[in-house]
Amino acid sequence: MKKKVLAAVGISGLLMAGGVLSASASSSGYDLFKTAVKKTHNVSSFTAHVQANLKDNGKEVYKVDSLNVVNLKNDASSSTISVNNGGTSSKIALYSKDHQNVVKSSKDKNYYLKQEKEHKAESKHEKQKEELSPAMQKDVEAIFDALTKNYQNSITTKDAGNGKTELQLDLSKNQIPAVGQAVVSFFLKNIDQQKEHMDHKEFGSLQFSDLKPQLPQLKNNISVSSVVLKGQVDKDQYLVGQEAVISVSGDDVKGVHHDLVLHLTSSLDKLNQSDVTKLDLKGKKVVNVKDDHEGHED
Amino acid sequence: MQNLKNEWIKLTRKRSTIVLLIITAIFPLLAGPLVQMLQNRFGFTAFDGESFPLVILSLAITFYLPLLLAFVISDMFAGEQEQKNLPFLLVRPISRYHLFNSKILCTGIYLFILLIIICITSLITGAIWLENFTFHGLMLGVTAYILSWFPLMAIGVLLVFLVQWIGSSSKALTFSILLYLVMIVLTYLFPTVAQWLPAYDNDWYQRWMNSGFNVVNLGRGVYLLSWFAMFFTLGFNKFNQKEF
Repeated sequence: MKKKVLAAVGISGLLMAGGVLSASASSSGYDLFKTAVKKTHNVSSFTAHVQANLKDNGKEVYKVDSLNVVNLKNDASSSTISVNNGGTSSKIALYSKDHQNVVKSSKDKNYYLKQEKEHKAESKHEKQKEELSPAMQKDVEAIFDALTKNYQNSITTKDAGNGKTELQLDLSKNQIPAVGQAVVSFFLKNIDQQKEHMDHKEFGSLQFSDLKPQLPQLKNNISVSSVVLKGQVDKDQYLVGQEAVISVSGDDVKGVHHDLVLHLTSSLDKLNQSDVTKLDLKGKKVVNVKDDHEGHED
Repeated sequence: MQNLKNEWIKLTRKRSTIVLLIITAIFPLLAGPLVQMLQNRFGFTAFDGESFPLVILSLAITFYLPLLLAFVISDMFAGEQEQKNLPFLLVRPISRYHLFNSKILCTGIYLFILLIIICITSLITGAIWLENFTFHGLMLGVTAYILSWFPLMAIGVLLVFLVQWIGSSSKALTFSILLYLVMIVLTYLFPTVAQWLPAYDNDWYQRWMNSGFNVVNLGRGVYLLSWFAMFFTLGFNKFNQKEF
């Protein structure tokens, strides 16, 4: 009797191990994604090309195209952003180096300059706080693993040539967790209030209302119909390309149906080799901007 | 099947079983109109006829069904021992194997019936109250409910095995609930450890829905079946040697 029990336990134990190991061995796409994210998180400088556009029933209503050079080591960045908001387009250039922030918009010739001095110590302190200890990082990773465990194996990998690998995750309506659905719908429904809060901000002639997208006000039947996520990992295991297509549908106040498609792409370039060239303000019209709401920054 | 009818009658004649079955049926039926009302108020359709049965299922398999499972198992083994009912069964001309087998089978049928009740009532609610109820959603729902039987039953067999050491049903119930909570916490904190536990597969129907028939799902299936075989053997071994 005892032998039989031992044999049965042994065989089922072996099968169990086989099952678990074969299941855990094949989530390569997800593992690649994780190592790439971790590795990319540690780069000191990069050039990012970020594009976003929003389509409402097939018509493009909003488009952003930006080129950002960021050097985290020297705390420097410069970016040129062009926004096309329902036909009217505007361009903005941002520059930040040596505690100097400069904003230039295509609307006028002024360069708006803002000096930062006393924030130096504070920002350094914040930076230290931001970085997680290795133990905490591991915990966060474990929780992330557990939350995504049902999606890890849906990630498909494809060889994109040149040593690059393309990862893709497609989620249809039923695969998006109900919590995600609820959060997105709630956000879209209440986007109005957030816009009003931001409307009064301006920077010289540059007004925030020029940049905000004219979204149709969705009222009913809001739901996320599909999400497609793509990532591109290069041969050094950096996450160099990201793409997301999010489709939301819903009815507005008049009962008109809207299909909104948000398309985001971001590609990284010149990793660890990007540097911000110093902006020459000589002979240019500079307007100094004072921080008028010191102490209660948001 | 010897003694199965006997076990089934014992289970269904208990007032608590009847009450729990009714609660199980009523909950999705009431949740439907409530969800519909809330969604109309806030204007979003996070739950439609297709996803509602799945949402109810994910709630049921994380909280409700393991609790009922622990309840019925602790009563069936530790409880009967406590009330000194088991010796009466043992003197009947049925082998201990058949006795053990019939109890497990009875638990399995009970669990299946609970799943089917939740499935049917949530499908009905989805069809009546919520929009976008489709045949595809119906098939998806039914498959998900049937698939959920496997991980729950694997947990059930583990509980049967462990409860053999406990002589009172209330203690067995408390222990089972605690054990289940530990397994859930482990899933989130140490996935590498947790993948050796069946609670990791509680929502494996989502994985079937997302990626269908692949190595991972097959591997987890083999794992669950062998887990079942292992603890069935160990549980019976203990039950066989036990003196009442």
